[in-house]
Amino acid sequence: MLALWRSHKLLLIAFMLAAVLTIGFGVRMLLFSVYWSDPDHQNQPLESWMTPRYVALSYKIERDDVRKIFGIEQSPETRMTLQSIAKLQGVTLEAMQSQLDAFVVDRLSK
Amino acid sequence: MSLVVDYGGALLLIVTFLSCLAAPVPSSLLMLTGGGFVASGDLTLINAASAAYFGAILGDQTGFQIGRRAGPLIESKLAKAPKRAALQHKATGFIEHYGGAGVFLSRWLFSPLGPYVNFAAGAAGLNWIRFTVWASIGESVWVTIYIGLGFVFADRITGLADILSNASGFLAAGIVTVGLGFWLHMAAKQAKSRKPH
Repeated sequence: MLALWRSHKLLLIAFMLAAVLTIGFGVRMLLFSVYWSDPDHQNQPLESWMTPRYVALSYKIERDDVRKIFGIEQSPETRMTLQSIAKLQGVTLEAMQSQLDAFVVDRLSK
Repeated sequence: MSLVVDYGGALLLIVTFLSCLAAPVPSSLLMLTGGGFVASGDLTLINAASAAYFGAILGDQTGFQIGRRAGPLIESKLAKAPKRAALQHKATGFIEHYGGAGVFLSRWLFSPLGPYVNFAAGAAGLNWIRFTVWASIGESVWVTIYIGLGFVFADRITGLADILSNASGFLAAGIVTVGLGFWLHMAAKQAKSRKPH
């Protein structure tokens, strides 16, 4: 082992670095798998890039319900992102999230 | 990521192209998102898949050509240092032998290594047809996996992206670890056989 250190220092360091990275990624992969398999985490928090159709898919709600919640029933635009909807209506993403959460809770209690 | 909805195919094409040249763009994440948008109906499958695929093919070819141009230059520089030249000869031999499989697997299984394989294969003078065949097949696997997973797990892309990015890092770092470990092992064996008894 010592002889290797003397003759192939760089290689040994590279190897150990690669091994540490492998373990690091592996651990993170497992941790995220555990986190995301929890059904509580599966209603994805709203992000600006999502569309109403996508939200409907993620929260397993009808598209029409989503449009009602976000107040865009009249809008002919189908591919709007939440970012543009928020801008249009002068609301924040957080406000939209609360409206959505309220709907979900209400539906579950029925 | 809202750009994916607005510019769909074009964005996917540009991003996959850049990712094959080692640019730090989140191509896998965007492809997952693309798959998710195909599921929600915001993108068509043809649009998403073909854009991602052609971007990747073009990117691979470009990387390969860059490697090819740079290859002779690097070789002439290395030839001056005998140890490095020997190393480079070994690498070239290795690429010749495992080239096809290496190109294929680095498209999807060890994707972080992909762009570097493009440069190395070009520099090592890997046969262009061989490269193109394996790259094309590999890229189709990559596009299918990522857009497919994005489609199937559309309701939880955020989570999937987290898991997959770490998984691909794990695999890429893993194969490098195995390769370096093997190299160390050979070096140790050589050293042992050279020891006087």
